[in-house]
Formats: sequence, structure tokens, C-alpha cells
Amino acid sequence: MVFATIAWVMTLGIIPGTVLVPTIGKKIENGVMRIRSRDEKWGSLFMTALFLGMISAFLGMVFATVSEGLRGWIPCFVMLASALIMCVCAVFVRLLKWKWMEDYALPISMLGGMALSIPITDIVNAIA
Amino acid sequence: MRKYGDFRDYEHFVGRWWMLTGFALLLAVPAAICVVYDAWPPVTWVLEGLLGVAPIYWTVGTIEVLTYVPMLGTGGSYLGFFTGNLTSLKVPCALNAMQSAKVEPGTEEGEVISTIAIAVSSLVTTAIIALGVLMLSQIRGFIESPELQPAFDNILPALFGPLAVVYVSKNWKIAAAPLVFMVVLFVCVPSLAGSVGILVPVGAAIAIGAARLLYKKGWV
Repeated sequence: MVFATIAWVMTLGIIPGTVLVPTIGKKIENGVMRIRSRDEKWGSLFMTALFLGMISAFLGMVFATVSEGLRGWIPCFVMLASALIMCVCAVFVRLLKWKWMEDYALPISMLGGMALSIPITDIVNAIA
Repeated sequence: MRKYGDFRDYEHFVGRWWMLTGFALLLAVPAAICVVYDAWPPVTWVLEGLLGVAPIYWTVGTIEVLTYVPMLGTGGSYLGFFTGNLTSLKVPCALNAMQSAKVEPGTEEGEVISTIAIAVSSLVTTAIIALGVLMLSQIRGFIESPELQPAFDNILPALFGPLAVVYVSKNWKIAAAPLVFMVVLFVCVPSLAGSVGILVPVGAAIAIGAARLLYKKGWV
């Protein structure tokens, strides 16, 4: 009975997307199309700003644990490490003309950052 | 333009039917559990459970629809919102694909690339989940090993670091205001980390406001 309750709660908890996209998705898109048709450049900036707003929230969240001391900085160090790998990939693309790397730079950086989080955590734990 | 409008209408028509079918299948899972085990929980139990999760889940779900639909386009939205895992998978995947193809979100080209990216991402994810389920007993020890725990704890920082390099470096004037606001907010109120989804539209509103101001001044 408890398991069935959990299944119902989990299912009903995730329904907004499946209900709202068919009901208001078209209206949202039409609004964006209207902005674009009125002013192409502002429409493009609007979309960029929308994404940057989202990314800012998640980048800010990475700093939520910094008040916990050095261990709280681990997510920031991981973020910096993966960002650094991305920069290295960009250098390879520009200097060595490794065009193929453009497509794989994000997964390489993400997996590299995750892999580096292990030694980063060990080092921080040893210091702290 | 008319043709694109017709195509979008067609996508909405097909998408609504698929979403309705998917919704029915979604509800069939708990219903099947109840039928198979002959265990129908009282409605009050379900409502009590929902009271704990719905305020946050439904708010974040609504915000995700308002924020991500313009980015993902019609086909991408239907696919992405049904298969889920938008923030950490579908949205970065679609945006990276559009970036690679040098097309913009909200355009006809962006619509095509985004839909293909999310479809491929959904198929790959499903295949990997299926493999994971099949091999669960063999890989469980590896996945749950304490040595690997830091890697799984830091998926989002590892993902958003490189995304920041790509997008913030290109649009640093627009990104500065929401980024500074969010960093200060999370440092001052760390407990907000659990409800980051609610803060996405706040960040978007600040970014749009900053972009508008910069655009009017002719600085972007």
C-alpha cells in the first residue's frame, strides 16, 4: 500500500510538463515569435538572456556551500577545472585546427571535471 | 514562413496526441502496481504525500515550461518534457547542438537541430538506462563505491563550468548582472540551493532586463 502511494505521488508530482506543454506551449512560442518578428536583434538577445538567466542560477548554486569552509569550495574547484578543460579544448581547436574537437569539447570537459573531482576532493580533505 | 507555421501546427497536433498517450501510460504505471498487488491506497494518503512534493515539483515544472519551451522549440519541448531530465541533459544537449550547427534557438533551423538533438539524447539515455538496469547487479558496487562518490556529487558544477565558458564569455555584458546576483544570493542564503529551479525565472528576468537596458543604450 505504501509502495503504491509512493508510485502515485511520484507520478502525479511530475505531471506539470506533460499537461502544460500541450496547453500553453503554443502560446509561449507565439509570444517569442512575435518578439522576433518585431525586432530580430532584440529577439535574438532575448533568447540569449533567457538562457544566461538559467545558467546564472545554476552557476550561483555552485557557491551555496562556500560558507562551510574549504570543503564547501569543492564544487567551485570542480567547476573551474571543467571550465579550464573547455578552454584547453578551445586552444586545441584554434591552434591545432582540431575541428572535430568542437563537437566533443563539452562531454570531454564534463567527464574531465567529474574525474578531477576525485583528486580535488582528496586534496581538499587532506588540507581541511 | 507559412510553411513553417503549418509545420509547427502539425507538430503541436501530433505532439498533443503523443503527450496524451504518454500521460495515460504514465498513469498506467501506478495503476498497474495497484492492480497487480491489489493495493489501492486511500486518496488521503496520496493527497498527503502530494502535499509534501507538489508545491515545489509543480512550481518548478511550471517554471521549466515557461523557460525552456522558447529555447527548445515545438518538437524539442514535447520530446524533452515527456522524457524529462531537462536541466542536466536535454537543454544542454539541445543548446550544444545548436551551438555546433551555428543556429539560434527560436529559429526554423534551431527547431530542427533542437528536435534531433533531444530525440537522439532521449534514445541514448533510454538505451543506457536499459543497459544499466540489465547490468545493475554487476555495476552496482562500482557505481556506489565511495571513491567515485565525489564525481557523482559534482555533475552539475562539471556541466555548467564549460557551458559558462562558451556562453558567458560570448555575452559577458548580459551575463554579469544575473551571475553576480545569483552568486551573492546563494552565498548569503545557502538554503536556496534546494529550490534553484524557482530562481531560474528570477535569473532570466534580471538577464532580460540587463539585455534590454544594454540594447537600448546600444552597448550590445
